[in-house]
Amino acid sequence: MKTIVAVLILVLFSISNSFGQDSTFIKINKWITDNNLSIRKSFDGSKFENKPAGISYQENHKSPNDFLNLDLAIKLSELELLKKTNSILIFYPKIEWHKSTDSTDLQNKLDGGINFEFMPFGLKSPDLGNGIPNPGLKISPWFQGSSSYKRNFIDDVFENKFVFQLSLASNYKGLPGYIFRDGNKKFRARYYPYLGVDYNRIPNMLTDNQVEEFSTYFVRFFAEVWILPQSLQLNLDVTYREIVKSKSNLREVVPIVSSSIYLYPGKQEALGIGYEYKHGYDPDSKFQLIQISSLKISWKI
Amino acid sequence: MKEAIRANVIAYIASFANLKIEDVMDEHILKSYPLGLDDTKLGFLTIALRAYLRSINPDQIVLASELRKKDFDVKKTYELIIKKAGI
Repeated sequence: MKTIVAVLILVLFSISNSFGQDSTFIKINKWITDNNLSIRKSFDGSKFENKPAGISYQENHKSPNDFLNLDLAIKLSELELLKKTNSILIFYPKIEWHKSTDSTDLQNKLDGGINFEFMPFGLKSPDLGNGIPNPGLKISPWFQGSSSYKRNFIDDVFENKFVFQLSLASNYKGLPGYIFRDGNKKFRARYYPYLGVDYNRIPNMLTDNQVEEFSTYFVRFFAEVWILPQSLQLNLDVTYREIVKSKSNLREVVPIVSSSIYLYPGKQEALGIGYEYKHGYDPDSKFQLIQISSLKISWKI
Repeated sequence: MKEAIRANVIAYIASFANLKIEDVMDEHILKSYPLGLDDTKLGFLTIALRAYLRSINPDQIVLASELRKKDFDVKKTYELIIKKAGI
C-alpha cells in the first residue's frame, strides 16, 4: 500500500510540473473542452457528477483483497429544449466504462444511456438592483433522470437501470446550493439533498441464470467542503436506500456512506490525488456490504 | 447601454456566487475558483439571464450549454448578452 501511495504521489507531481506549460495534458483538456465534452466518475444522475473520473488502488477491509478500479464517464453534447421559456430541459447522451480487478467482485462494464435535467422554475437572486428582472423562487426544485444500458462483460449479460430524482437549490444563505464563503470570501462549502427512485434489472446478481428486478427509493445528502481553498476538497455522501419492490432475497435497507478527500496541486481543478473511504451496501457491487479505502488519481473536465 | 448590461450581468453572477459585485472580475471563469458555479447553478443563471435578455430583445435566448462551457468567464458572459441584445 505504501509503495502505491508513493508511486501515485510521484506520478501526480511529475504531471503537475507541466500544468502551466503547453503540455499534452493541457492540449487534451482543450480538445475535450472545444468539443463540449465533460469527463467525470459517472453521469448516473447523482452526486458522482461532481466527482472526477479516475484510476484508484483500493483496499477492501472485508477481505484480504487489494485491487485496481477504473471509473470513466464522458458526457456528450447537450440537446436543450424549452429554449424560449423560464425553464431548462436538457437531454444528453453519455458513455461510461467501469472496471474493477477485485477478485470477489470482478467488474468490466460499458454503459450507454441518455440523461436529462429539468429546472421548471427560475431562482430568485438576493441583493439584485431595482429594475433588474428577478423571476423565480427563493428555493427551487430541479430534477435529474438517467437511463443506463450496461454491457457486463464478466457475466456476458445486459443490465438496465433508470433513476429519477429531485433536489433543491437556492441563492439564499444556508439553503441547498448556497455557496458558503469565509471572511476572506473564499469558497468553502455547499450541499445538496436528493430524493429519488430507481429501477434495476440485473441478470446473475444473486443466482446464475436468474434475473433480479427491483425498485428502490433513496434519500441522499451530498456536501463538498474546501478545507484549503482551491487545493484540498472534502466530499461527504450519505445515502439511505430501501428496496421497495423485489421478488428476490435482497436485503431491504441498504444504506451507504462515502467520504473522500482530494488534493489539487498547482491552482487547477482538473487533475488531483485523492483518498476515499466507502462503507455500506454498494449499488455498484450488487448491494454487497463493503468497506473500502481507495487511493485515486482523478481527472475532471 | 452596453455598460448597463455589463453591470447587470455581473450583478446576477455576483448574487449567484454569493460575492460582492466588486469582487467579480472579467477573467473569472464561471465554473472555477473563486466563483465556483456548478452546472446546477449555471442552469438557473441561464434562466435569469434569459429573462433579462428578453426584457431587452425578446427575439433572443441564452442557452445553458453556452454558460456551461469550461472556459466561459465573466467577460464572455456579458459580451454574449450584449451581442444578443443587438447593441
